[in-house]
Amino acid sequence: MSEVRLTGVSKRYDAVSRPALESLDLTIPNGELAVLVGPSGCGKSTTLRIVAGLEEASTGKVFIGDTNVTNIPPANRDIAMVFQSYALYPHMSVFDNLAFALRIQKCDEKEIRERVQQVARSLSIDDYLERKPKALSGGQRQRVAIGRAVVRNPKVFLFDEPLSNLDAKLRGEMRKEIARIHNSSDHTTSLYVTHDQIEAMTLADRIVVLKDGLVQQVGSPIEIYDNPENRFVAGFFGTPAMNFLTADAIQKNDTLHASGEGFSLPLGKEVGACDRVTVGIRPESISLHGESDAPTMKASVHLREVLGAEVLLHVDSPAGELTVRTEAHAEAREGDNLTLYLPTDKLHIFDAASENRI
Amino acid sequence: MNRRAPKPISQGLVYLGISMLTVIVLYPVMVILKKAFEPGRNFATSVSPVPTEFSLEHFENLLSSANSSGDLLFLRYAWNSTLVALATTIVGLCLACTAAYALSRFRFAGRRFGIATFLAVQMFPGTLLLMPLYVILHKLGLLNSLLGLVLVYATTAIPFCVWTLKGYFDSLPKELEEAARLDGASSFKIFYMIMLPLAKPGLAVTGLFSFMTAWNEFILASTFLTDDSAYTLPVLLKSSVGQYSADWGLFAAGAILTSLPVMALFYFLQRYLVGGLTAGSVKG
Repeated sequence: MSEVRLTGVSKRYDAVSRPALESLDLTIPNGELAVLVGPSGCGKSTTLRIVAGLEEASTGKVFIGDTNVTNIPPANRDIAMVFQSYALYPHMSVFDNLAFALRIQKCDEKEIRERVQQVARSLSIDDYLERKPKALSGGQRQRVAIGRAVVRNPKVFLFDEPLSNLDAKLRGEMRKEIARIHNSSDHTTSLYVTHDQIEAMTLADRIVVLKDGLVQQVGSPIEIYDNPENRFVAGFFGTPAMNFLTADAIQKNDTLHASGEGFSLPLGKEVGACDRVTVGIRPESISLHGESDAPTMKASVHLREVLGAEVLLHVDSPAGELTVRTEAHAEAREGDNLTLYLPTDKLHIFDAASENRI
Repeated sequence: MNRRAPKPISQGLVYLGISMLTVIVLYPVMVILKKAFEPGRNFATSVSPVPTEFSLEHFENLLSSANSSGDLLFLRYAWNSTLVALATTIVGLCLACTAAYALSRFRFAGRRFGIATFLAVQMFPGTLLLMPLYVILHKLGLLNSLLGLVLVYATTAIPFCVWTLKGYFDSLPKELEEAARLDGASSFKIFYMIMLPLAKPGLAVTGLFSFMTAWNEFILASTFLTDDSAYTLPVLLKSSVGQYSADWGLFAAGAILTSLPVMALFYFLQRYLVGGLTAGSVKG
């Protein structure tokens, strides 16, 4: 069992500033890959370093399996970590880098050789075993860094932004590689820190969204995408980002409308005592054709971006600038006037003051 | 980068300046070289650095002069100097690298005070310590002994070595240590398996510095060593130029032979030196 559990974990670097992490409760079940995601300074790396034991929590406990590891040094936690900077030992060959931890554990040299060879083959770095890290490309170094973690067969893998130093193409490849490694062992739990929402969406069994040291939402990628708990989460996931418009909640013909100058959208639900709302709608949820009874809004195109498979239209509407994602052959051109259809069931409604989902 | 071609005049001025500096630096060296290879005890009256006659008599005298029991003096003192300089380097480096690593990476009570003390000690000239050191060595019975000299040199070299090495350790990435900690290495293993091999350039710089100071040092050596069997090379050199009779030819030949080992060390270590002195200045 290698479930990772944090209870009431806080981290405060000094008494004056805001805590880096505030009473975090988090359970990552055995074998899951959890991605901690958020903007820089949100506490995601701090969380990872606390699980690794490189940083002490100010309060709270960390469990790996059933063991309370809060006061156990990193070496005895049976974890392996992949660093953003790779942190390969520059004066050692690739083989020695991979073998380092096993040699510290005083494994039999023959077994070390076998395990290193096997891991090197599975990561296609077996041709470079005698090279020093500086003679490798970025992608190869990253493979060695991952290999160094894998070869130990740990209970928990920790990844600290492992792909952010790679170019886009390699990043895609390594993402698949990491997914493959994680899936190849049923009992290894992985914690993955990134600021990249695409990595989070593609890799995670479970996404933990953090901001300012506080958990914003925990859920599967699709839950996070479809039902964001607050405006921050809604805006963080999705490229291009969700459109937001702020309006007054006004009762009209027995239904509640989000009403602003020149537009009025039925909300389709009660909003309680709140009288100003932020309505969010994803660019792909706005369409240029729709049912005649769907709420509409007039807009004019001011920029058209062709992405190949699709087209992004940046339009000026009474509610401000909106982005619409539509199919590649849409005929709208700069300057055209359009009618946008905004289906009620695709609207995300947030309290404008607290920014929480209603 | 698109740089403008320098104007011929300003370029000429730069070369003129550099040439003048080169002459200023090289002239004394040339004069010593000239004296070493020119017969006669005194400096010639001419200011020209080019010798008019050539002879190896000073070198022959230097290398063949022996004491009453037939020991060759120069070789004996060269051996003394080598022992002292090597021992100083080894003692200095061993103590300095552990201290520097601790000061660079660990947080403990007295750390800031320790660093400040090392810096403060650097500010005193060695001669200021002459008296107290003499008393201490006398009490320890280490006057006239090379061991005593090694201790004195090492204590004076260590603060500089600690500062240089600490700077070097500071520039090594922390992630390497964290990776090694997660790999299960103890603090000492991290130190000697990871950090020390990476600090080689820093060690080369500080080692060379310790060696050089010990090799060239004169004042402390001439004060603490009164028995001529324990002399080091600088003391021998000085003894060839006395108050009433001075053999500058012998002195010059000795000075040149004495500087050869340090020059050789510089030559072999320069690869590390350049890397060491600019360590941490460029991220890479």
